[in-house]
Amino acid sequence: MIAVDLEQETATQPDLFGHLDLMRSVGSGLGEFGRWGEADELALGAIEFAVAVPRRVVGPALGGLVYVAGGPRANKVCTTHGRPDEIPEQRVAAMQAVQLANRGADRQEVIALARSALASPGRAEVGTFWYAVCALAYAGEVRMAQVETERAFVEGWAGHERARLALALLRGRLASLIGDPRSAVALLTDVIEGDVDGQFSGLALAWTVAALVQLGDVAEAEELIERHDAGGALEGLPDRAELLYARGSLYLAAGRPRAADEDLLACGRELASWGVTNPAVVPWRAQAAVAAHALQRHSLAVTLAHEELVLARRWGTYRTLGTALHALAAVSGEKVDVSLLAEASDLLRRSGAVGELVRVEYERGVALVARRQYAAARTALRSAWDAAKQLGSPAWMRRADEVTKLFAAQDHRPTLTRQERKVAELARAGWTNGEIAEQLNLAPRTVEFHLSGVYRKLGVAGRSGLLQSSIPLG
Amino acid sequence: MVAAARDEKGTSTGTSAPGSRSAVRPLRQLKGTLPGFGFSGYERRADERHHCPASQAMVLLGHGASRLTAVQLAEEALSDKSCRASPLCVWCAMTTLVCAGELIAADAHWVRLTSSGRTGLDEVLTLSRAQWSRIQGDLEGARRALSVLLRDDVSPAVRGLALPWLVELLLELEDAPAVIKLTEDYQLDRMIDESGRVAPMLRGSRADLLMAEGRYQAAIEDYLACGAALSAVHLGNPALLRWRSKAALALAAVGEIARAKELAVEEWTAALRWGAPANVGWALYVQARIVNFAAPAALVAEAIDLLELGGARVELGRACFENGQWLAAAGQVTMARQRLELAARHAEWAGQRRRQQEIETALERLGAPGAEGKLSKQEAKIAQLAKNGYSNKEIAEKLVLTVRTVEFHLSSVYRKLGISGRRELRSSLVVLP
Repeated sequence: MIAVDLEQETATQPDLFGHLDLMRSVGSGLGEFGRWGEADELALGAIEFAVAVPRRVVGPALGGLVYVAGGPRANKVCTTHGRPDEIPEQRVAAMQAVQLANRGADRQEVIALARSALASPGRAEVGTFWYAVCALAYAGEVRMAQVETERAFVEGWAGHERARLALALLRGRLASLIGDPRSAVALLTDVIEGDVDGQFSGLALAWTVAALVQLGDVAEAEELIERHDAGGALEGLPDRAELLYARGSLYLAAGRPRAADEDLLACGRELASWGVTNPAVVPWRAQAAVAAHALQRHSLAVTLAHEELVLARRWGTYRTLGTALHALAAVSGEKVDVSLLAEASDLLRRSGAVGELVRVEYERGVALVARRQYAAARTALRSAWDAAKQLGSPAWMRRADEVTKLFAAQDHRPTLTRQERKVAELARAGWTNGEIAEQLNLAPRTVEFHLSGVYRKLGVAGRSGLLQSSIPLG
Repeated sequence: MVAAARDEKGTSTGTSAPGSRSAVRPLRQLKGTLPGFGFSGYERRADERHHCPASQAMVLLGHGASRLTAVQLAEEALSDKSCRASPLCVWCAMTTLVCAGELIAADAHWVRLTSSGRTGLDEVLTLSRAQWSRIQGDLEGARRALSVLLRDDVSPAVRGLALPWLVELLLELEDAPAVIKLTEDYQLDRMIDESGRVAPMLRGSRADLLMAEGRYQAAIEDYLACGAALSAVHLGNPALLRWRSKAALALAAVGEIARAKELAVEEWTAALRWGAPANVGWALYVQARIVNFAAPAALVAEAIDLLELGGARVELGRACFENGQWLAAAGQVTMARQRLELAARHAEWAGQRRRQQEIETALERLGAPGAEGKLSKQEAKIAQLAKNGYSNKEIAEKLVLTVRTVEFHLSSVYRKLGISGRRELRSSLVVLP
């Protein structure tokens, strides 16, 4: 049992554990004053020191020194059976790679560090492998990361249960990033159910929800959240940021921008407390911008989108840039900026982010319909449909079809009255009937009446249909 | 100290052609480069490159446009060998990053430069660190750094910025004795009259001082003069100096709401154009504040989210405090408590001890049984007039009351707001519902 090992280690090396504890608390103290540069140097020194000690140290002893999704809680005693691997010296490079990535600096250096760790025998240790693969994924080298995980899988690299779960988790996440969310859901669900000591279950849940949202399976994702009792504030949970992000994105897709706004800003706060600014780690600002826009918090929406773009440009991967431009287009004003969307879809296509690409192409199609540029709209919707097919998402294929049909029958479609449009816009922004009535100075009954007209004319099934579709109201 | 101040004036105001002297001290080139902002990329020595990335970044910062490009240029400068060796370039690049709200990037560069052992960068690195600390609300950290820079052997250009920044900082800390000592030591008024170059910045800090004393008219005059001078040299970015919103608050205090609104909207527009979250949040907050929070509550909430996003703890604390007081007076106890508790956390963090005490008093009043902080209509009217600088006699005449009645009403206003008296009422921190 590792628990016993830890006790022995502590007894024989009180200095090391005391030192690591001290470094953790000094580091977070510095972080509170934004002094991440100094905190990072300290953390790195502590890791080097720990790895150089001839006696073996287990992974959790290094927890909390460098933020990473799925990282162990500091000194948490593992109950997994089997002995941990010895921590190799390449662990330092792998952790440094993630540390740099968190701050959004020196992407080439991050890639070089991660590759050097993975090229060494140290890759056999689960922690080193985990940090290095995460760093590669953040740096936009998703294919390279995938090659590593598949190789590890084929080699039967995972010796014990914790390593097996970690590998499945990474493979699932990478599948989701590369546009195969179906496989992701299968792999990740396996982890949620197989995780005994709870280190990975929160992260597996978050990434499953994200994959389901990508597929457009909103109801299923909501059901999953409910089943795992993850509807609350999630205070103090490991991987809270990833959970908040996934849930916020889910709420946004489900047409509940208010709840989404809250979760996404909370996610940002959580990441800020770790000094993580890189949108490649979690692109929360992009999603928060869209939520804020829906809530008519325009200053916040525009500022978030611009900030995401500044940071994305600093990091420089196609995926982060494409995501940031998508957000910027979405908040650009009354009319969505179609050329920004085109640029975003170009970047996302190059990065292989198919899930995101479907949304951008769909939104571009919808925006072009609103501008009555039907030929261009048809092309965009066709490409959304193709991407949706590649993604394996019937929900998105259906949506693309719906809009195509809708504007084909444009001439016959009864148009919304001005009042209906106003009511529909507010309903889509997540307002309740009561609030809409108050805002527009109407009786609640009148609001209901207008809404039923809207549902009929747009051919959607009630409020949830209106919320989930982005059929242009104009 | 006084002698030192004169000495500084002598050197900092005397030059007319910045490029004409050779660089005796490392920072000599910074001297008197720009009216008002101490130094920038506009006027450089003839033998220096005009289009290095640092100076381009500085131009964009001054204009308050293209933050994205400005940040890129600044980072380019900090990894460029020749820019990294020039204190002026390092200053331009660092201040661009800090004013753009890219605090983590600025910190990383700062650590790298500090440990690089390069000579001649100490002063600009300390100055930019002070600016960085101030933005995050680490007032004590900023104070320490700035105090060091007031020494005689520091170059005038750096001191020219350190002084006004220190004044503003001490006012945030509500450390009145220190402010008085500082302005007397340096004879702020005389410096403003005599020095052409740093005048706008100094006028800005004199305005801060007047504002804190409740002398709004004089403050307005100084803010507007400071703003005009800055605009004349294309330094309109509110991330450099928030003179518009400060003037707006002063104007609102004397009841000139229309002009106040105009300036507040102007700052908000400029802040959005630049896009640093802290500035957008502050500008949004000031808009709500000017109409005495009659603006939708959603606006204040949005401003608070933005200030938090920008990590601007001092401004965040102030917004929460003032809004909390207003909510308390309006009888919205629960919301008021939330805001005030948040304000207390930030005030504690920033080391604002007087503010902490004020918040504590406000929170106690909130919890006190039978305490109804809501002002009556008459009380609110009288309080507003008193805040705007009217004497009791004038108020009595205006409202056709006896002076005794006015006094009576005011004393219950003080009690209800939990403040000590007229002086506190007139400080910009007390918000009337």
